[in-house]
Amino acid sequence: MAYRTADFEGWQMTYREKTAWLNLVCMLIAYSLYFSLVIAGHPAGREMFPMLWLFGGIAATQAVVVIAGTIALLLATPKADRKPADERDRAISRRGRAAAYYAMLVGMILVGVVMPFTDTGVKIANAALFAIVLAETVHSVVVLLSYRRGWHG
Amino acid sequence: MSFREKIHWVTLVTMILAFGWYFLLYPWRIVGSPAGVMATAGMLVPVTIAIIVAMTIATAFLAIRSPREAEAREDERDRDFHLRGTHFGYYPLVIGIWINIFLIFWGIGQAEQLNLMIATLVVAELVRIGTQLYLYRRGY
Repeated sequence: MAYRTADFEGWQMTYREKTAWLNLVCMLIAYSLYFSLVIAGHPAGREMFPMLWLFGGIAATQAVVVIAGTIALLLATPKADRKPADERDRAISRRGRAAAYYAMLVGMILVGVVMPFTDTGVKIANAALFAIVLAETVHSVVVLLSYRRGWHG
Repeated sequence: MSFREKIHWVTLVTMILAFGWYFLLYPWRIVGSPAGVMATAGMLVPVTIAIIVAMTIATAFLAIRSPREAEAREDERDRDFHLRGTHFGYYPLVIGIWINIFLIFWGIGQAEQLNLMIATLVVAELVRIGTQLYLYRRGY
């Protein structure tokens, strides 16, 4: 029983970690759907207005789900556990952004400096969106791994 | 000044000079035409070569002058500055790429798009290196 309790406690999460999971899961679901549709031949992969509608719809839905989830987490978390970000939280966030920077840099060079020579319009816009999603995913994954592995900065 | 700080200064000055030259001498009159793309490609080659050559020479010179410092590994402070600088550099990149996406829908030309992205990369790198230098100077 003691082993089980310790094991369970090992998976307890802080409020910040829960919101990081919420953001990551919502983002992965939303943009997996978006890019799957684009790859499957949805007009959003070729034309401007279908892209704006599809992306706008998915992004808005994602935002609503994230806001609702954050409010639910806020209500479910005791006030004592909802402390402002401490030094470790800030260091973890910086670590995540630093990793995301390099993902974004590579994406940006491909999207902004290589693709304009070969592609135009919506294809570049979709590739740019993919670079942003990839960088944000890298950020969230690094943040979550840092919390899970007890990184202290 | 530490070896790493000197390297950051060299990078900052090299980037400002190389891309300053690029943006000042770019033929903006033809930016809306296909020739603008070729001008970008043609001017990026000397810029890239100049940065690589200047950085290689400066790093070799500084490493020969202070070999012990050059071989030393990053300490905790260096790593912290690196993370802080990169953290701040991330935001110009994201803002630049969003501006690019919106301008695509406004019918921005290829060469304009290329130049916007190059400018974004340069600004992000300057913010990244500038933040690190600020932290070194401030003695954080």
